[in-house]
Amino acid sequence: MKESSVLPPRIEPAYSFPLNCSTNLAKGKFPPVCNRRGKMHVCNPCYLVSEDHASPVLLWDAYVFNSKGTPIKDVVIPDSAQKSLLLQKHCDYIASYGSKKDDYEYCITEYLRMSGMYWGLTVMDLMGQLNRMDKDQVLQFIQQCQHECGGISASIGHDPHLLYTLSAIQILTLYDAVDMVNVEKVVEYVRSLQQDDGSFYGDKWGEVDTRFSFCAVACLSLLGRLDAIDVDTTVEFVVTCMNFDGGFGCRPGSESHAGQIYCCVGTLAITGNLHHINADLLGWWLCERQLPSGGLNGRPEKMPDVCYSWWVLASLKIIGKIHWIDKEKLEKFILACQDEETGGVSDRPGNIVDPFHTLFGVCGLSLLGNETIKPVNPVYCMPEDVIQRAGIRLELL
Amino acid sequence: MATDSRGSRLLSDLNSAFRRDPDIDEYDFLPVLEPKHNRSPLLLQEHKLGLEMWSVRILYDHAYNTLMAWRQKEAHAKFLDPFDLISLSRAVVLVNADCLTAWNIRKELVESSDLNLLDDLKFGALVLSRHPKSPETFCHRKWLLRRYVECCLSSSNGSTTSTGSLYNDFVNMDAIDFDLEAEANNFLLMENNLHGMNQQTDFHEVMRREMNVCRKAGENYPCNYNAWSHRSWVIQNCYNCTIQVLIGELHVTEAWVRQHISDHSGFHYRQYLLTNIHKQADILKEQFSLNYKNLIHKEMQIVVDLLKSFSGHEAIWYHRRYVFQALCKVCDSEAVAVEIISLPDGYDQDLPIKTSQKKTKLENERQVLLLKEVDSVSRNHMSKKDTFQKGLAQKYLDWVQKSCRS
Repeated sequence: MKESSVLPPRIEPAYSFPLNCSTNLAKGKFPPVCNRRGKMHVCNPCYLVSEDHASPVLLWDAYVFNSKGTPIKDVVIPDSAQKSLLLQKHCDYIASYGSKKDDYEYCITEYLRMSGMYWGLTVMDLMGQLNRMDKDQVLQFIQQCQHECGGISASIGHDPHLLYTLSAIQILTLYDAVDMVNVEKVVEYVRSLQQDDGSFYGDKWGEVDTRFSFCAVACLSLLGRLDAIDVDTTVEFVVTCMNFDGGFGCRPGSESHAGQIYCCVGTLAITGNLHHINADLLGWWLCERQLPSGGLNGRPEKMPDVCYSWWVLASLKIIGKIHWIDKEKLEKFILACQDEETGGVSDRPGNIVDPFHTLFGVCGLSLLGNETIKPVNPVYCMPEDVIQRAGIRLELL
Repeated sequence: MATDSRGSRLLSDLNSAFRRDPDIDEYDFLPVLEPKHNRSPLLLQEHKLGLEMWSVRILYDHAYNTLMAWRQKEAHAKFLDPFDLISLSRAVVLVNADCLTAWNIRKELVESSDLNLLDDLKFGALVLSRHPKSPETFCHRKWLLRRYVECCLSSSNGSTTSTGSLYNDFVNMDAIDFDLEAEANNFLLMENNLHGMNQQTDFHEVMRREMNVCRKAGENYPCNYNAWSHRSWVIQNCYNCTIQVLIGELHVTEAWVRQHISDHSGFHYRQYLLTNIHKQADILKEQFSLNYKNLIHKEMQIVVDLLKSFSGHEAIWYHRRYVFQALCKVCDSEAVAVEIISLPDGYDQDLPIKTSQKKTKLENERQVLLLKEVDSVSRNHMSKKDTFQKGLAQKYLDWVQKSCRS
């Protein structure tokens, strides 16, 4: 065969070790990799001989093999995995998360604190326990994060950015308290970041990304002020980021990415322009993100990750194709990512939990129809009742 | 406090490491969880810097808190001069590459000429060696590069207006080696002033190094979305998608994708190049006597080769989707071209009929193209025992039959 003459292909190192390796995993040949909670993850390549005795292939940990020894980037969910939803544990996890303020992790994540608070507060509301959070402290914090220019920063003393401005407005909407900040100035800030081609800068330093288009549009629509920007060019720019596969990237010509797709589809949904989307083509691409384990990845040949239960599933919901996914398998995957001891949800089974994946795991389950969680709005990633209260009604496909 | 004095001592250790060796090109945290000996936890060897794990937190706490207190103009905050700010922000982003505010402080220092732009590009490359997908690090680089290009354009033309022709003029391809990726490990040019004598060579050297940074980041972290989209940003914003550069990049990334068959981002970069080459197909023909259609056929040959050698890789199949729909588009545009030729008729009564026949023939060609493709994939991949590869092939066939019918 020709294989022996070619270099072994480089294959992506994975981030997690499957809890239960399939029998084909060349038994026990893996280096001592540990990624269990709190331990350092060492990612060592190792050589394995595949079952059909082809040439040795350079492999990384965390591969599942099919019968021919082909690596498929996925995880195996063990039979012992958690199968029921531990809502109360997740509530306790989120409620105690902010109390460990001396924690190094808490300090090192300060640069995105505002989004972190949005994740925690939103998931608490979806689980019906928002009242456990210190509302006054949150509102006061947001006030202190608004800058002279109107923009809002991730934390006190940090620089303002559209990402955190949206998170702040989402939290204020959750609490029905947008007047806590100077709304007129927020609107002015967002408006000031729009460019002639319709795109948005993330802040005054000039980075362009379709994520920022979503931030701008979502933020202004929550404030009822979409009129402040040029919606037509906003839409035009987003449409120029559409690819031949129906997906969207961060800029025109950029690779399709489930997170960017969510932002672009969301922007088109809010502005009433979903007709630009080729729902069959995009739905096809999105459905191909589902792996044999049931989990979803964000791009071809990437590992499954709970957060894509949100980006992919919400996009499918918006374009009316959510029934194309195997819901049962996805639910099983998300439930397996819970930590039954500490509460919270991680990216993949067995990894360390965080508020980000906890929110998107719970939101995914809500979209899949779990009735113990409040219905989530697929465009804003906020409870549907909050969006209704804000007077927003969107037409989805 | 004890922690405080340790923090500032660690910071000065770090500063002296960078002073001793300005060419540190990699760093990492060493798995030493507690201080074991009475020595500095910083290790410097052959341009590699190691920090013992236990010290990272102390260093970060100190640098971050001092810097942010200054930023907030807190009453107790120390007065910090530009050197302090450079070293504190350096310590912060080495540990936490996505601290937006620390990078912004460095932007302000570049604006005030307290920090050399090229030095900061070099420092960003170091940060990427450990955080190869850090979005804020790439974002900062784009800002630096925009500023650098503007600076070069305005000084080379004595004007600040930037037009397309200026770019083309500036990016004179006679002077450039196609192989932008060639190893550029000597940083001699870093010492040069921005307005130095060999500015044009400098520009190409800076860009060549930028490509190298992207390549390394792409290798350190597979399917590195930010690295590859940064690379295409550079091609567009620093090289104005000049056809020579596109062709050069198409050439150098071929070997790369052949060795990184799971990396969809690498394949997509080639899609980006091909799409932009297509937009300049006329120039391609005039200047290089190259035919876009042939490039696409060649790309299909690469795909076919890879699929033959490596079974079960979705990324290659996805690339095939792009290549095949590009072939279909070529087919369509040929049909449209025939239609346009047929417009100015009049003296030859038969011409419209002839061209319409030709048009139907081309439409048929598209059907033939599709049939051939389906046949070739079925023959080569559907009869094998490998069910996973067969599944991918089937998904491909479904896709082309749905998406590429005329």
